Amino acid sequence: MNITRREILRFVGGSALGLLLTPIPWKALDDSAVWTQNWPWIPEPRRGDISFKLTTCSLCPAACGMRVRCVGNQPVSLSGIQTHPLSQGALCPMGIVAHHLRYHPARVSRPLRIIQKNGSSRSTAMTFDEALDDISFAMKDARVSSQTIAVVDGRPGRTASHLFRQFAAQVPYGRYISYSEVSLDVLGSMFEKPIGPLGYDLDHAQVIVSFGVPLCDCWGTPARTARYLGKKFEGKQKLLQIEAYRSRTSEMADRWIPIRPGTDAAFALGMAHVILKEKLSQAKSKDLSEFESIVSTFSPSVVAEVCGVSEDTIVETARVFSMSKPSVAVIDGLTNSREAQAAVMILNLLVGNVGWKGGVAVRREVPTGLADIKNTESINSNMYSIPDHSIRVMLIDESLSGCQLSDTLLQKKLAENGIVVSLSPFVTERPFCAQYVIPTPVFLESLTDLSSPHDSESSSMSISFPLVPSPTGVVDPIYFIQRLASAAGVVNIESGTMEELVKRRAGVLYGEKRGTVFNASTGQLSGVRNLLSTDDMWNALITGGCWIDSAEIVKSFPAFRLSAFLSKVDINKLQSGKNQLVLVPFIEKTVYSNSEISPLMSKVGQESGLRPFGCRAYLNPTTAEVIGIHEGCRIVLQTNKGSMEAEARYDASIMPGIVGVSNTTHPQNFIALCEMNDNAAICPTPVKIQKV
Amino acid sequence: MESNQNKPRYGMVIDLDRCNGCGNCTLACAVENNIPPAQPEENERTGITWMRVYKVDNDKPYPENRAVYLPLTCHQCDHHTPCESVCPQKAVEYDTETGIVAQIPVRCLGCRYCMTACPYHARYFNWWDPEWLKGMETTLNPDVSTRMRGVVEKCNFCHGRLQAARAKAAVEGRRAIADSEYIPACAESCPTKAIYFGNLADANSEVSQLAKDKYSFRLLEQLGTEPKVYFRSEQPWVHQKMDTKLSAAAKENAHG
Amino acid sequence: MKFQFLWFLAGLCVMLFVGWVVFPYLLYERKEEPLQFSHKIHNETAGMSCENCHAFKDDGRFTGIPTLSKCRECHTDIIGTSPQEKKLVEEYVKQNREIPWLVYARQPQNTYFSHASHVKLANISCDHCHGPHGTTDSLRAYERNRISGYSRDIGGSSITGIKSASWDGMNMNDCADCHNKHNIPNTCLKCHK
Repeated sequence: MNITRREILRFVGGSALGLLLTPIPWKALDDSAVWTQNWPWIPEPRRGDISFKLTTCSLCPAACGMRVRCVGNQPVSLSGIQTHPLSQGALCPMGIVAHHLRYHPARVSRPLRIIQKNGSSRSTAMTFDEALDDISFAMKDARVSSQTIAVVDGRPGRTASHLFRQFAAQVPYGRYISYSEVSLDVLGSMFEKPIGPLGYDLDHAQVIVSFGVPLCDCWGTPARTARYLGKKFEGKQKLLQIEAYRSRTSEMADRWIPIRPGTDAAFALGMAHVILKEKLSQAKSKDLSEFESIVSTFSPSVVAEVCGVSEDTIVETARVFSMSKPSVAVIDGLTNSREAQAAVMILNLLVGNVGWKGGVAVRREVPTGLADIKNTESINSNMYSIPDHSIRVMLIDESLSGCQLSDTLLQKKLAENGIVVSLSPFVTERPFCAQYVIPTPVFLESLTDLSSPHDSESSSMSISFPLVPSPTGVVDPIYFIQRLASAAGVVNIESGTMEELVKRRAGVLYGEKRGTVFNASTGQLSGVRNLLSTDDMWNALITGGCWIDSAEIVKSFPAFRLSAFLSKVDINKLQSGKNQLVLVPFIEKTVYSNSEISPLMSKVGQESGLRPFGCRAYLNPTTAEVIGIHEGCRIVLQTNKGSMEAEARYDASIMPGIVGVSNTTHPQNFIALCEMNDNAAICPTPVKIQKV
Repeated sequence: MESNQNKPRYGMVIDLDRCNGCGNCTLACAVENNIPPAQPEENERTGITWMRVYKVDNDKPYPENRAVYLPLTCHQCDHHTPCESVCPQKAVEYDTETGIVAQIPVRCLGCRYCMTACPYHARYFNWWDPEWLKGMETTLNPDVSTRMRGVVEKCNFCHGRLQAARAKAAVEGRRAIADSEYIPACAESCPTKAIYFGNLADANSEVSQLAKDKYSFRLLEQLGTEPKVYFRSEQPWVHQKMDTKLSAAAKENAHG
Repeated sequence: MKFQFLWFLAGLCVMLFVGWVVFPYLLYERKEEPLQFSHKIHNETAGMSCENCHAFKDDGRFTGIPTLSKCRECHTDIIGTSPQEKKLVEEYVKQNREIPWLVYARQPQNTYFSHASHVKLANISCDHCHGPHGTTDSLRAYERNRISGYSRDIGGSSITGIKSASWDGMNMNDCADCHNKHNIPNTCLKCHK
């Protein structure tokens, strides 16, 4: 039998018919379709038991209660605790995605040494012991050359803060530098006797005069917006927002008063002028005469010219502020000159609201339960009063919210041979020095106590309790300082783990028998006196609860003296580029952290343009047309200090004549462009724009 | 699609006077629904934000310029649902049980006709395969599937949460769920409580009553899509800008 | 001519054989379960019921196949004589390793199924969908469709898709058919997530 092509074709023909009579075509097609929908590189959610756990957010002083939804032991989403008395169920955008921080690519799990040479940086991993050796060597060197060893703490009041202070007190030339809400520190420095931790009692104020503070945009606590709106709609609270551009807070405020950027001090002093002239002041201090003479030059007509407002506005604001009681004036500490802050704080002194409900709250220190520190006054400092270039070893605790102090300020205070040791979960490169990064745990991995938000009436304490283990190699700041102390021969540092020490603190608070405790699991608020044991206190605090101190009312107004910041104030210097284009930063700092943020934040930046991000410059359309810039074109921003490329965008809510740039996402380029004020904060900078 | 009194019709009322444009809703939605973070080249046009907040202003120059923030999600159109009527794949279906317009990504072939048809720009396309940072994929929500490149997706009022609420009710022997048991991620995360969610078919619910309020309006009412998301504002300029019935009535009164 | 027709017939028969015998055999990959678990022993000898291990949680979710903690409630040490139990204790309980069960009824990621509504509200018995699995003495091999990756139980044991019993096959059509029979509207969102 010959097998020719014809036979084969017949065979194939039969097979083809047979194929149609088998399940192969439709089954294979069906299954292949399914196969194309299940590509193996598309991640699938893990399976597991769903549970809800409670803890407290540690990203900022607001210490919002958090409800963590977990699959197995893995946190997958975060929401607020509705019954929490301070946070009232609100979270901020960063908080909603805080559970992603563990996976950030900038996460460090081993100590690093970063050396800057000729503009490039080189980082080497090292062991913890090697890092300790290096740092204690530098400390010995500091002792020999009488240079300062400083610990910088942006979240004072914690147990870790107490250990930092113990360390600084026993190290030769040691300094404990803390900053919190700087404007309150400025106010505190004006009193003759040191006055307890201060806060803004915004809940009870009748009138709030805010100088550019983003009160309705997650400053203080995210719940502030809801609290303010509730009172606003009932006519119980008025907010006057004074700032150059129409921010979210200006939109929601009762009244928005646009002033030229950088003229906050002038406006505040203008208000003070009116208050003194019309005898609306409640202040009972002997030393007002010097202040009166300074303020005499800030008459409404002069200030109106400087700020770009009408005289009536200044007079009316001053009257509303001083005649409605209680009232409080606020200004943000980190982005304004200390002159401006002092000017605004004096308004609070003039209406006599310090220590009164609805004004500046005087709170009590929250006891730590740890050994008292002798000579604590000698080591306490703020960064500005440290002599320039004097710090040989600068230890910065960036473990919770990064470092809010600008690089410029740090560089100014660091000695030429100085090193910076940052306690941080992420790599933080400082381009001006040799640096060590000690890896610390991130939110949900670390146990830490948290002290009070800036905008509440009394002190409070919460605990952020870990829900997941931290990677090996990561150390607690307390462990680091204890080990460094022993390596450096410092003897009296509290020993014990973070959990032991914080638990002790909870016990001490229980022993004080004052204040109330909120238990998030039961939703109940009870007086500390009514708790049965320390365990009740501890269990409440580690599950998203909080302890709130009873309010303290100051009986007599504390004596104050004129702030040294204002003795040299000069109306002429307070004018900012009237006839020139001025570069101004958008303060998105409340939403974008000084530490790292989840990549999902792109939803509110890059993917929707809701918040200004990266290199975009926002201009008023009239300004843009005058210069000849259309929306979306690339421009170069040129200042005395440098230049930067950006994409131009129109925004009719911005004052003509200013260019707003966001200070988000590692803005080294942007900061390099700007002039700095005495606070080492960016101040409005004259700028020229050219098309690329 | 007549509203059936026995079956819920879920809707929202968003108070524009309370929204401060923080963006919590956008982020909470992305976390709940396994939406991946942006690719480097992604922008406002290609980004996936099932809930997106827009800034709407009164078109006046500085300093009279005023704005409100408008959170925009799928409006679950009740009538002649535009996206459903154009889908060649039947990947979109109006769910008669809940009033939610279902988008089934596994059935979608990515023609994007529905994106063109949607008058509210509420539909988003996966231009890239979803990618999360190493380890971040362990934070995905098991109640929502992940999607692949080439399919359209949109808000479904966190239907996974409705299923969970129903399962809990079933174990307790109930068929109906209480209002408080089902809330989408956006409404839950709003710090100013600007988003009200509930059953529009229940005349006593807060959402129903707010929807009938004279200050409430819907977007593009004249198209007749009968959206189930209402907005509300007591500011006259907002009504003028949105060309609402209230502003039309005000104009009539003004002209006598 | 006859020979020519035979070639055609040969092709037809070969392909029919391949399609109906070889293809179903090759299509499914057989894997043995990591442990041979006997439902019969646990039901009869140990006196347990289905709900002891396969229970509802307060939030309405179903445990499905229990985790190691359930086995550990009794098997912290060897309590029987079978070699399988020895393997359980030595390789899993003592090493705290979850047993990597191959789940016959595992639905794809895009599907949602609520045991609560079917068991508690519709009163459907376990064997209606899962067959007499609860009375077996051993676990049959898990068969995985090599093309789609799904378990054979989803598509049904027969390649034609014709069901031999109510529990043979649990794909979309099977669910839809049952819903239709009971006048439950088949809306997409009911089962897809």
